[in-house]
Amino acid sequence: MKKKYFLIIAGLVGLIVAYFVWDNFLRTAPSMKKLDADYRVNAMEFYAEFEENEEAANVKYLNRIIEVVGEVDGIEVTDDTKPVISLKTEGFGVIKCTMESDLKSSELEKIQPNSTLVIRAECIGMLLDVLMTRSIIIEPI
Amino acid sequence: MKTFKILFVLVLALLAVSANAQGRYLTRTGHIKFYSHAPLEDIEANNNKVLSIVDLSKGQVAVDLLIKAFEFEKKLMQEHFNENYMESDKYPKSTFKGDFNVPDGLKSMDDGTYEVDVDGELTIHGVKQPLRTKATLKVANGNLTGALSFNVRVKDYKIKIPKVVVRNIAEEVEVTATFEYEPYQKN
Repeated sequence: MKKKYFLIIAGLVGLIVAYFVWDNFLRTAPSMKKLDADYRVNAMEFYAEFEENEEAANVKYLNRIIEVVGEVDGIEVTDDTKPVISLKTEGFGVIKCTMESDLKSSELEKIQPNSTLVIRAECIGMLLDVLMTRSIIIEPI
Repeated sequence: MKTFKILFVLVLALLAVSANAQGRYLTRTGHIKFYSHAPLEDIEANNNKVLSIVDLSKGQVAVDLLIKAFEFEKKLMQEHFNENYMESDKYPKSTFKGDFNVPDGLKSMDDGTYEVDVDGELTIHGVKQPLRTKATLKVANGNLTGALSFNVRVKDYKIKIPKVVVRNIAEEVEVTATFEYEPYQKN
């Protein structure tokens, strides 16, 4: 009987330890696909808010999930980092969106300068450009 | 019409000279890599969205980057870096401001490679520390590039590494930076 209790307790402790390890060391953030946007904004207005008052824009947007609608300014693909899509603004910089994962060549072909995209991403702040990370393309799919 | 074209070219040339004469150069796509070599694993991260301005007339340089713009090979590693060690929600930026001696050839943007001593302050994780290092500035056909490397002791910037992963992360990480500058003229 004692052995049975011991095994149950050992099993429960094992589960708690496994959950702790998973929660602290193995669990990754959910994919951007599964997240809802806190704001949907136009790229030009979004940039203008940062340009006008960076502090206030940081309070509103920093580390939030944003859907940005804008025209493609350019796309950069390098070996050591994820692809970056830039959206046009009326200011000095652009909205620079680093993709969550590499894009297939068929997807890259669809992204043409001046075409309109809706990108969902996390806003990480402004350095002349407004930088977005973990970006995914929502429209056109 | 021909006169107009000549005037247009002259204005463009004057603007270019004026930008260079100010001696200020900027990049928004500077690259910074850090590399940690530890007994259990090597960790590398890249950030190619680094902002830097260099002023050759004053011998000053400024570098700004967002911590969350560092990319790791493993997603989990990137999350731990931001959440557990760098606390990037609390300290989103890292900055460096420094001064350096400007050789005459560099001031006048003569082609060549110039070694300079940079003396400044590096802020990481909300902690400001002095930093002295050597940098290489290269001028080729009117284009300016910069490169430097230095080591950062994580303890100096109050970055806490949990004991359980102490063999995964080096006490000192190697930082290398490269910048391809363009003439800067403020609007």
